[in-house]
Amino acid sequence: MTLPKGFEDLALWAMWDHDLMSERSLQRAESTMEEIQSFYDAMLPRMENILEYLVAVPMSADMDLETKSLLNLTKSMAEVAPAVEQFFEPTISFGFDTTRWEHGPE
Amino acid sequence: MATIEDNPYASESRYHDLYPEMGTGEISTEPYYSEEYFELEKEYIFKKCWLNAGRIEDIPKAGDYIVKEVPVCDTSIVIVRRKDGGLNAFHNVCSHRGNRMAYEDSGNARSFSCRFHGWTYGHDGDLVVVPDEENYFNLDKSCLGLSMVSVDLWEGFIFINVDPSPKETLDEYMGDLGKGLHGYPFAETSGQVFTFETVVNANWKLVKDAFQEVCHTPFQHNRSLPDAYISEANPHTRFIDMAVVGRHARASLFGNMAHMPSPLAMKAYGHGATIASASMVDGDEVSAALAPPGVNPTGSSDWSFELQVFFPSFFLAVTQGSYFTHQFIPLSADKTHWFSTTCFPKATNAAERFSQEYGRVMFRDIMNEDGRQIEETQSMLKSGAKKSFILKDEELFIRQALWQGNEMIIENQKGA
Repeated sequence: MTLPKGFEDLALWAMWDHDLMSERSLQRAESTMEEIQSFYDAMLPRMENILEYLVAVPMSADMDLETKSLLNLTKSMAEVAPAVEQFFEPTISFGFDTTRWEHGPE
Repeated sequence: MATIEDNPYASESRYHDLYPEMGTGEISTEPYYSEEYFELEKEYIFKKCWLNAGRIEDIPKAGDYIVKEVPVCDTSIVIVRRKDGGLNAFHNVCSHRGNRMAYEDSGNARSFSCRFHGWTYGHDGDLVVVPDEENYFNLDKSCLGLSMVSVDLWEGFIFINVDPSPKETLDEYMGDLGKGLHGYPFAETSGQVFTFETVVNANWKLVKDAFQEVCHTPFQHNRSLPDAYISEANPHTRFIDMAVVGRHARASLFGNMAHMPSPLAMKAYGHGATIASASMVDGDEVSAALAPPGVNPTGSSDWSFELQVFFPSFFLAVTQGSYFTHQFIPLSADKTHWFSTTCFPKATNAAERFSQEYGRVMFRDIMNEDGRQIEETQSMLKSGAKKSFILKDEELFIRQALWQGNEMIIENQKGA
């Protein structure tokens, strides 16, 4: 994974660079809370800068790969946020198995 | 602080008083697992009602088609966009020897050809080509088109009705509840539609019931929604307002305007609408979403969502800058195809796309809290230990839906 200039250090989190919700939710489900928390803690202080960068990028099918990877990291951030901020565990105890959902195109 | 007297969420008045025909007693659990009752529902509800089958954006161009499996009506239906922009729908079956016409889920076609012997039909369902036509006996192609199904649009939502002669047009069926949403910016807010589907091991009504009351929020969603829909004045997440409208039902959902968004929610709210209360969303979209008379009809300053429950099984909840739907398509007495969407305007930039992802994930995680309970409840029903459910005033729609179903079964049995 390569990232846009200024965000290269986040390449450490390449395992969260997934195009699809099904892949991101599986990554969340298969990670420990420590792994999720480290990703979240690394990303949160950078979100403002990342969003400043992304707000200038039009959504289009031909988005360059570096930007797409950065967007994917923010999507993974959205994926893990409930685990960190609400549930305090990777997936929901006594919840529906999230891998049972099928998703259309995104 | 508000006193009990002027707190609308502590009112002692009862919605049930407005619908004395439905009573206030316990309701039987049997319709939630009985195979016999399920057969009645198929025959006298689902084969008689208008059912949601997608959005017009699913088939934007002439010749675009979608194939909807509708096992509760024992059929598969092709819906196609004509050259003039209108829609046709027909049972997915060839007139020759009954083969399925379209095997795929969607596509674009100038005509539909049967793979078996090449009989070919136009977008109107007319039979246009029969290979080796001379070898048949007195074939009159004009009477051998595909079997048409009624199809119509309401606010860009496609509805079908397999009744060969529906008693009501779609507009009549949607009635005052449908009219109340006229003007909501559905087209703009369908620019980015995220779909979720699964098969849940529960009766369709049990799945639906989990979404037609919100008073489970303080318990089932105590982690995901600790304060978004709860406040000191409204600790039990009561509705702002609820009403039965014809066969359907609507409610205005309370939102806690003092809700404290999480750290990432704060980032998401800065770049577009997400699952949020009115106060958390920027002002631009407010007027369009709030303009329809059926949205926040009481003008409450606590309003977050407008919930519409279209009988039998289509849910629509609108707010500012997004809406979501649920559809509960029965597969058997204890299996349901659960299909949901969460919908936004097309993201213009990548930061907005992140914001939408935040809303999408929250929506799914909240459904995950509900999904398990639904299956656990179903698993206990057959024990027979509890022969009835007990409903409070805020659970009116559960009673109304069962009552409406029973009424419709009786009415349509008479007409059969």
